[in-house]
Amino acid sequence: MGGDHRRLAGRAGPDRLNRIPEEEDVYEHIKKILMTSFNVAEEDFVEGATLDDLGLDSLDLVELSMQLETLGARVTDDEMVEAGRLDAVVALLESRLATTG
Amino acid sequence: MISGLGACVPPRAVTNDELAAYLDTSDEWIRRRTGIGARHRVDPGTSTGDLAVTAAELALKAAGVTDADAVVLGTTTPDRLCPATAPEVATRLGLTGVAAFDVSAVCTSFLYGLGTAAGMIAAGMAQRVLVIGAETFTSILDPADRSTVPIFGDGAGTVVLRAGDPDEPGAVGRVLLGSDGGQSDLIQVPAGGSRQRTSGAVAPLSDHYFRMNGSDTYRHAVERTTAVAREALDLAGWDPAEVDRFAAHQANARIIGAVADRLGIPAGAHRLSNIDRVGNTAAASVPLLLTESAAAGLLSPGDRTLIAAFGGGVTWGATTVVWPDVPALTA
Repeated sequence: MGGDHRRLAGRAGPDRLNRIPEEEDVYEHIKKILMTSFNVAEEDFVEGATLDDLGLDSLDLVELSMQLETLGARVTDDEMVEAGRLDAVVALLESRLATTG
Repeated sequence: MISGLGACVPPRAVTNDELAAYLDTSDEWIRRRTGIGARHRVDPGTSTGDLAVTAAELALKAAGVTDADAVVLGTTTPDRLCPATAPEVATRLGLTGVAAFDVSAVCTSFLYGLGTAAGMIAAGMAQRVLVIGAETFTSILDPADRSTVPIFGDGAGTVVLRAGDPDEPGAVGRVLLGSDGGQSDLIQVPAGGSRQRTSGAVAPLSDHYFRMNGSDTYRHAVERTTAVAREALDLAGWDPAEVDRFAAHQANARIIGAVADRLGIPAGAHRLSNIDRVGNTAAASVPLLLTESAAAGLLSPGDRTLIAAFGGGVTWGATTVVWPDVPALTA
């Protein structure tokens, strides 16, 4: 996954700085969550991968939504289903982070 | 003080493969989604009260007593809409004359009953109370609903609670209870109550069945159960690392895992579980889990035990107990 992903550190509140390393972008952060909490394999993160491709079911999406709230932006499980692809979810999350400042 | 436990499930186990024969589902899907491999279903004509009597008789035997001052029965599936099931259960136990009533908080019913019973003892209203959680939950399921049929099962569990010293093993900590009626639609049987009956409209058959919004239930269950369990740990003065056993309502293996992960309770023996064999037995879940675990030696005297549940309403609760050296009998 390429592209110019926003860095989170500047926007994250002081309480979140210890959770999100400065060098980490949104995509990498989600990827790390998916690999550690959802047992998604590294090789599954291919260009255009859908949430379904990553083996995520509806309860996983609720759990992911809850874990992403620690980033300071809310993306619901329904919005993730609609987004379909991981890159679309990342874009959605980035736009929310941008607007919630 | 917990002074004895008893529990039962009906003899008939229904496997995932049996369900897959008539529902669009599979053993693999059910296990991955819920952690459930089988659930028990009553034979035609067996009621919640029948299961409650069996579990209560075992608990009385375990406690080495024959009577109690009150019978508190938590259930979502009473024998009849009216009257409560507890008085008939009390009479069948030879306890005609005692206080007997049902408590309705769906899957949190047992903890609501436990808190009520502890309060009755603290207030001097009773010396010994039978706290029962019993369900024939399969009786309210839509047999064609693949989202609920695989999850729920039937069963009953009873704890004999007696007056005692708060510092003794078996003394139940303060029972923390909560609710949010703004989420009452998440878990419901829409028809059969006054809302539908006074509407003048005939409810479709589907409204007489249980329904649940699984995704929203997951979110609320994880958030509320985690929060109330943390509060119970704070009250007990226990660090999560000091919890020997976590007895969570067996709602869904993934909800239990998400809560335990957030609390910092390690996977494995610390997390008591029987959901793979009995599914979600709603109000019966916690006492059934405690009884089976104690009987199997998976819950031992001295274990610092955290108990937590979440259910329709929505409702939630938690408490702590240092496990006592008391018998637990299963059937």
